[in-house]
Amino acid sequence: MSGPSRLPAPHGRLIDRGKPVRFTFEGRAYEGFAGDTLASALLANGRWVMSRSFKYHRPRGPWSLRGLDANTYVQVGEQPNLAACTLPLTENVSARAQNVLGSLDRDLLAGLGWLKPFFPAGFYYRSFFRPKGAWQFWEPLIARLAGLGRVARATPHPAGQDKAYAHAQVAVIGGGLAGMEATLAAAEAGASVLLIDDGMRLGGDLLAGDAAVASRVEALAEAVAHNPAVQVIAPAQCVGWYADHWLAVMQAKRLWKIRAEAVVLATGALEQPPVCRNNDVPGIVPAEAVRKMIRLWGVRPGDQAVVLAPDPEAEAIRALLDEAGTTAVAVRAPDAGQTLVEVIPAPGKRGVRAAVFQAVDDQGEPHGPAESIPCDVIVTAGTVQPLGQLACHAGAQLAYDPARHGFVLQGLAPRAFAAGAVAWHLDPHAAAASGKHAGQAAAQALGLAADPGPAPAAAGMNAPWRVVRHPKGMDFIDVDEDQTSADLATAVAEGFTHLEHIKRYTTTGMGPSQGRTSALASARLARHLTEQALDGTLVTTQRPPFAPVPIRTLAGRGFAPERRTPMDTWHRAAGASMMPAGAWWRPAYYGAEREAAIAAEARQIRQDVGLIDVSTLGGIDLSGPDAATFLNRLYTFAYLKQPVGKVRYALLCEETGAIVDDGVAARLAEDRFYVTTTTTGAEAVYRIMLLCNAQWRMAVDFTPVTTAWAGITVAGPKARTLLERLPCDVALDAQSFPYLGVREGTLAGAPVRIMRTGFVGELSFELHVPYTYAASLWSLLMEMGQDLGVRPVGIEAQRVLRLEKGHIIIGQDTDGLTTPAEAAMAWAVSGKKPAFQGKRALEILDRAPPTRRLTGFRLPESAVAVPEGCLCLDGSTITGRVTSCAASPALGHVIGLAMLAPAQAAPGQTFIIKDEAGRLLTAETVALPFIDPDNQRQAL
Amino acid sequence: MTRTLLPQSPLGEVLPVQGGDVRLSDACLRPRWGLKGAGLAALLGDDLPARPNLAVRRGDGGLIARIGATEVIGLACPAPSPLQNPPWTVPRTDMTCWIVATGGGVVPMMATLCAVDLCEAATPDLTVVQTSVATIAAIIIRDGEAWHLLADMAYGRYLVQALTQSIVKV
Repeated sequence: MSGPSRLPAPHGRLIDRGKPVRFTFEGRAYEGFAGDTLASALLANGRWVMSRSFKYHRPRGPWSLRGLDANTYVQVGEQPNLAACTLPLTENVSARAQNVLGSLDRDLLAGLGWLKPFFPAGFYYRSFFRPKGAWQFWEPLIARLAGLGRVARATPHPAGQDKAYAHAQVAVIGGGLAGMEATLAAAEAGASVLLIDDGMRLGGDLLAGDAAVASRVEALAEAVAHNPAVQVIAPAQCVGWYADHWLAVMQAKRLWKIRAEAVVLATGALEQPPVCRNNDVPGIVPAEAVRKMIRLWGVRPGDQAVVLAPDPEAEAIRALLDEAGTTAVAVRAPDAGQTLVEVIPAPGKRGVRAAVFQAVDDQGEPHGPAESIPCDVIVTAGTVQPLGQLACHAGAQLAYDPARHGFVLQGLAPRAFAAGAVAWHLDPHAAAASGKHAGQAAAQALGLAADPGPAPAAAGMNAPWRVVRHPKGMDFIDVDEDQTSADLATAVAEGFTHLEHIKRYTTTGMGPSQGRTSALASARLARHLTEQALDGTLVTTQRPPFAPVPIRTLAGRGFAPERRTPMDTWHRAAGASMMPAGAWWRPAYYGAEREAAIAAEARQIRQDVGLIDVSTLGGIDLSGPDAATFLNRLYTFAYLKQPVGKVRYALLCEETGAIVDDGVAARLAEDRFYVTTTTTGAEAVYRIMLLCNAQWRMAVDFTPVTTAWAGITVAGPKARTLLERLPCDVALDAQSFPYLGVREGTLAGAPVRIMRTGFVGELSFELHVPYTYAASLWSLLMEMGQDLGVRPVGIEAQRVLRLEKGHIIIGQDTDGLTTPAEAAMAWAVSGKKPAFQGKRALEILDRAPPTRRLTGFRLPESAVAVPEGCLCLDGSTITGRVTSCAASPALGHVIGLAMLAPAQAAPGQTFIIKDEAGRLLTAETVALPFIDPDNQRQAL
Repeated sequence: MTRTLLPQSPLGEVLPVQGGDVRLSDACLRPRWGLKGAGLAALLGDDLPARPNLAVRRGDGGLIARIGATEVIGLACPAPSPLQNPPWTVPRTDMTCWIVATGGGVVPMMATLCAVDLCEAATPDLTVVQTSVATIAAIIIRDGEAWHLLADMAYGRYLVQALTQSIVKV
């Protein structure tokens, strides 16, 4: 079979002959028409071979023409595993075959089939794991030889991918006759209906049917399209049916997550390949595919056909072939004395040359005289597998029914219904009736309609085809995985008797088709080989996805929530390098030169005045008569007697005594506190408060106000001078507003909470103003402080300043086990309180000798800062690690904090730090803080 | 030199947005308030929605949305002044950004960001939905032909960006 085979109109109702489409396949130029699929255009150009098989690299051609098998998988650009039989043909598309070494027509691995005796089932399990580590060598090699398409690992996530949610009372999967009838019946009963169909047009395959059927399909599609209660998602593939009717549906660049109250499955059935020698040769096709080739795309299937089908289908197929000018040279029914035992391939196995018929014995092996019938296409019908796998995802089973010689769906989930061919209503009229009934039943299950009565009985059944076990082999049970009857026999001989075990040993049913073309044959053969009855046999476990799902589809649209402070735009415009902290973005430093900028900013705070954006600090309002009692019971410090207008440090431990967060508690009134937390600890602290009070039942209310109050720290010797230039109803002098005070009032017309804190060790006013006022206040402060040398100060400089003052950062200078004593913060733990979170654990820990202590250190003048995490040594023994280290602009040398053994922690001792390059540096322990031990600067 | 500051909306530079059949407007400077704690019924009377996740439309055009057994948000109406605490005031004006979405494309746009069914049958007028939108916590209130979207103020720009991208996709 070669050369163009396009039929004249009226054949080819989907193609537009006035719109030629150029494309390439394997580098060769072809032409098709608008409305073609890539596969139909290739077939029209006489090309049947579209892929090579997984293991033996045998030529493969279309089977289902519905995207349900892997035989037409191609690579287009960077997209692998696209089914050419459902891929719409587009101008200049360039496709290539997959899994070939060389080219599709000259695959250097085409001879692997000759080595089949050396690749029996279970070969991989025995051959590549010795000696130890061998698999790491073999695995990539095998993957290259036996893989599918090539994944472009360096390709960035494509734009436009997303996910969407949809809801419906009734979801119908499948837009054929049954599906559309179900859709309209449910909608007529008042249900909102969502119809999911994988075709380019509703009823697609049936458009190739007889005129009456095609006409009915078009009428239904029109009615569906104009029904306001119906939403159609097409072309789209339902790939998973999960609990409570949650459906995953792929559509172009979107993954739909659909929640339905009832589901109608109308996915149809798939013709099964005959099992005989060389049954994988291109040119063996089901009648439904031939019907589509001729009528939808105007493709003539061949010159001479052998038809394998029972009556009356056989006669219908003969008439169909007549339409295309293809001669049916032989028509054989399944119950004839002889059956198809072998296909004689054309050279290179690129097509069919003859069909060989012979009698078979009880073991399925041919015997007696053989009849060879020359032909170039073999058309089959009469043996189908219901496409019920989706229902199996949701708990149903496909069980073998000997009366139908096939599998039937049973055990459907509540409010799930099957209609059409998937439920063995194979005749179009029966399928339509069953669809209508299913739609009514779904509506009735939702209370929208009356009981439609019993479901119509299904009359469909399979022909009792034999599985031929040819002595020369290559009788494929699973074409996806290149598994033959001999492979299943090997598995059984090895002692595997259960279908699930045979599946895993042979990989039958584990390819892209997920058993859609192999489950029936493998069940028949396995049961025969194990001498077990077929009746009631279940197909192996079906799991999502029903069809291959690109990773990009699962990834969908990326969401990266960002929180921005009110001054974010200002920071970026001022040249700040922004750094993330949880979801927040904070300015690290301003300017191009990192170290110089940090040092300059730190000096500015020590010498003049600077502004730090502290809006990211967590904030929680506590209100109620028990607010102080609650804080007293949660935090380590004492709060019962904290005066109104005062701020106290707040250290929070978990029940193990480990530090989890810190901040300050500002008492605004007898029954109101404003508590701050670390930037990343705000949500956790809020949850802890809610959890604790769920147990303690105190009269206190919690409101997270992190965003409500933006924070600006004005710090430096000139901070008060700057603030006094703004209209403010709060007295800012040291006597009226001393260190660790808190005041509420207005500043330049904005409501404000002002706290005098000392994190950076300088005179500081922490201004907390409403989010919507903060950006203008920041700008005003910058403007008003120009002559004072005011400048913005980033987080990095703030970290240096706090280090000079010996203040810790939770999570950096502490780890998940650090106690207050280890962090040199025993002063922040009240010994008089009867209880606080972690108290019991700390009391127990205090009975044991300390094992480590956070200690200040300095490096020699010439040294540079070492990274956090560097090891601290005592000789060759590791005794701790560096937690913070930076060059101090105020001191002129490197300082840091290290968690050391207690014996090393006394000031004036030396210890060794091993830096990231392995150099050993001698450090000297220093008493904390490094500057201003009398707190004179911050208390100004 | 004296200077009185005025509030600025963080979304003023990025809203309004018109795309397809959706319009997104900035309402961050419109009045809104929050109250939580006991005593709401006595304070609000008929303006207290009958149950959580419902809103009532006041005579002055404002809305009061009940987001919990003892918590409400008021939109576009004056805040009542509790004579005693509780209920406690919640600084919603600065905690919560407020975006108003209108147009026939709002429901399909939101379907790409939010798992809740916002069609009219499932979410009728004056329904309050507390859910996740573009992975952040949000409150959605259906107000006739308009939708009020409330979320953490600091996420405001991110939310506008996510909504705008969804308009383009839809």
